[in-house]
Amino acid sequence: MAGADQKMIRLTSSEGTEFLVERAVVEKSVLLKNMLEDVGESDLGTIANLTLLFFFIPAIPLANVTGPILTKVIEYCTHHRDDPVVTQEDDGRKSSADIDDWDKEFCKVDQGTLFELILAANYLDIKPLLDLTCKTVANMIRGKTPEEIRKTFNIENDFTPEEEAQVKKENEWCEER
Amino acid sequence: MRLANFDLLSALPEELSIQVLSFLPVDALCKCQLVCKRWRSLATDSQIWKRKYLEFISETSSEPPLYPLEHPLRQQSYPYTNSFPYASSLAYPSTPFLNLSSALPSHRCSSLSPSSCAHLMTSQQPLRSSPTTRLSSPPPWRSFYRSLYIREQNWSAGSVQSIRYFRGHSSQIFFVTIKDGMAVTLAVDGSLRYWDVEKGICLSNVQLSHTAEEVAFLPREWVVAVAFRTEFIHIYNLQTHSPHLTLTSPSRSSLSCVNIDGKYVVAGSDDGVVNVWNWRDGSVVGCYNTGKEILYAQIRNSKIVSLHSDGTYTVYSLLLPTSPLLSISYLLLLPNHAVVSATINSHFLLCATRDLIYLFSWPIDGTTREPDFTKPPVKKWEMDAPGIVPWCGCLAGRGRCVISNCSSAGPICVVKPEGMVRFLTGPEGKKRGCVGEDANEEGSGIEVNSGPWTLTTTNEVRSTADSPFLSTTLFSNRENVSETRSASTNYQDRASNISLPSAGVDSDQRNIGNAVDNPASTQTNPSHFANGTSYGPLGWKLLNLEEQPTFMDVDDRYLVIGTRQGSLIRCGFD
Repeated sequence: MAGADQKMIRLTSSEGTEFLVERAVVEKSVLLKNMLEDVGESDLGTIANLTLLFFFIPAIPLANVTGPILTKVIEYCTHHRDDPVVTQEDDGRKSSADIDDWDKEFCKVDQGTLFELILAANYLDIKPLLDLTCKTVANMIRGKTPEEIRKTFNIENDFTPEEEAQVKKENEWCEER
Repeated sequence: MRLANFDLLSALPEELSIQVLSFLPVDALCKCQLVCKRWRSLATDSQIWKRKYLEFISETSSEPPLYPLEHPLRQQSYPYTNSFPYASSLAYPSTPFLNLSSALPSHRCSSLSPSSCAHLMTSQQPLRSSPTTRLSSPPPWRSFYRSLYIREQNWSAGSVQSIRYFRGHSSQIFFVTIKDGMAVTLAVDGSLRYWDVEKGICLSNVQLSHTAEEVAFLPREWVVAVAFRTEFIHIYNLQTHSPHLTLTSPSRSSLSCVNIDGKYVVAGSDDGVVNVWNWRDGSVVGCYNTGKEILYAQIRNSKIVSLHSDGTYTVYSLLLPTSPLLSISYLLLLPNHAVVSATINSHFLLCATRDLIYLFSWPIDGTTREPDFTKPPVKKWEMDAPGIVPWCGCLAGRGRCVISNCSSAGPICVVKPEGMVRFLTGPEGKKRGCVGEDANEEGSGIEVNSGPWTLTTTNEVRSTADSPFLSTTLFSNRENVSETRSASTNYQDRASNISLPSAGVDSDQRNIGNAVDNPASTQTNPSHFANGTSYGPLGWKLLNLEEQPTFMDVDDRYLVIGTRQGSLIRCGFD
């Protein structure tokens, strides 16, 4: 039998694909958590337990999130469902190096997916996922020369030589760190 | 999304790009600025640099990071009072004596105005407005960060950037204390002076009625507590120059040390009693008999910490009047060593016996982020004392640790918490020092110190490879060494270009920055050091002080030195 914390929620991606997700997983998203709280316990309670009655399960359309990205987000939230909620605003801000192995593996995606994950994490308000994806991008930048960064991110150098010299001069002070 | 010219960072909403960049260390941020125009504008974002600045200042300043913005230093470092959310809390509180709203010291107020931060602004690279260059000037948080960064680099390289002499006393200064850019000096003729060290102004001159032992003061409240070599303390209002209050030791024994906070004055007396008064109303709050000679006492968050000559320290709580004793702890010193000098701050405890200097760090309470004085501090290092007693040591922040015996032959050393040493003065405070593996050229002088750094009268600083000291000292790691090397070479140009302000600096002083940096001699030679620790000879720069140091203190920005000739010398690292 489904327990109280195993109520199911239906999430609909932008293409209309439906995902059946446990409420505890969905609630990793602050946006959805607040949404569900607003709907109220009574509306969801009894119906949600009857998993057979699929149509009665409340559905939340997520027009900004595609199916593949939503799959990734659900994968992340499922893995981290039991993590304590981090309340400290700046926790983990200091270092971008301390990413655990599962998370690292999770972020081994192409840049387009990473980009969309950041947007989805931001939209759904899943702070640990947002931090993780931002840190991953930061790690792609860290330790690289400007030219290597340009290569990594397909960027063209649009400075004139004079401008480049000027910016270089401005930043001389921190080169020796 | 997988187009060839997809630039992830620029494609993100700006707020998220900034979030990504804020995870980067500063050197990476600087590299990002060179990528393209869009990245430059993102990587110079004021939000990021503000955060980096505040992080940095909380790492380096005296106070624990919990209260970084209440530290008065912020006043000086942050020019925009109008937009600064904490500005109101930084304003001068009125003193307990009188309402000072009209008599508010104007010089300190002006430190809140943008003009006083001209030094921060001018250090920024000026952008030329040639037609081809249209890049906007980066926001100021970055230049605040930069100024702070350069100061810390200079500090860690022991590279003094400016020396000023402040004249005023007509006799020898025997005590100096500095806090938040303000200093109090005591001279043997009984005069006490209060200085704005940043501006070099003497704000107040008080003639004391007795011979003072020590002072402690509150810079923002213009209050100074003078402990005399008798049984009483005077609390002075530095604006009216008159004693506001006299506090007398209940046991009538003479006082050896004094400290003050916003409410209490604490003083150790020769009979081993720690006395605490409420200086605002003059009442005795408590007196605790430690039974030991008290070298140092401090009050912090209603806890009194006193350090004793037998290597113990006691902690009393004012909040528990019935059983105030919280703990008595033993410092891990070599047996049978009597402590002769000690000082503590929120991060460290620095103390010296006749032969050795020790640095301990406090455990930090996880919840309050305050130092937990009731737990034993952790020894970071011990080292040979640079001379004989009397010795004085000073601490500020997490990176400031200065030691000196301030005797006729004693050098002043800057010691980093990691255990690196820089000599700022040689035995006679005259010639430049230089570093060499063996310093053969002029090495025929007389040795005046048998420590690991042997000082000879020619001021050659040598490292003695097989000193037993090496096995007991925590040395700098490779990272520090490289940091030092680069910093000392990098800022040499800068240093030598500094034009020193007037105030009696003679032309000889203009060479400070130039002192010795022979690149050949700054090569690391690991073979000299045991235990596989790599320790490079450092770009030591000796100060060419004209006068003989007698006492000194440090705060976050300055090292101040009192001299036998009565000058207050300010060494700046900015």
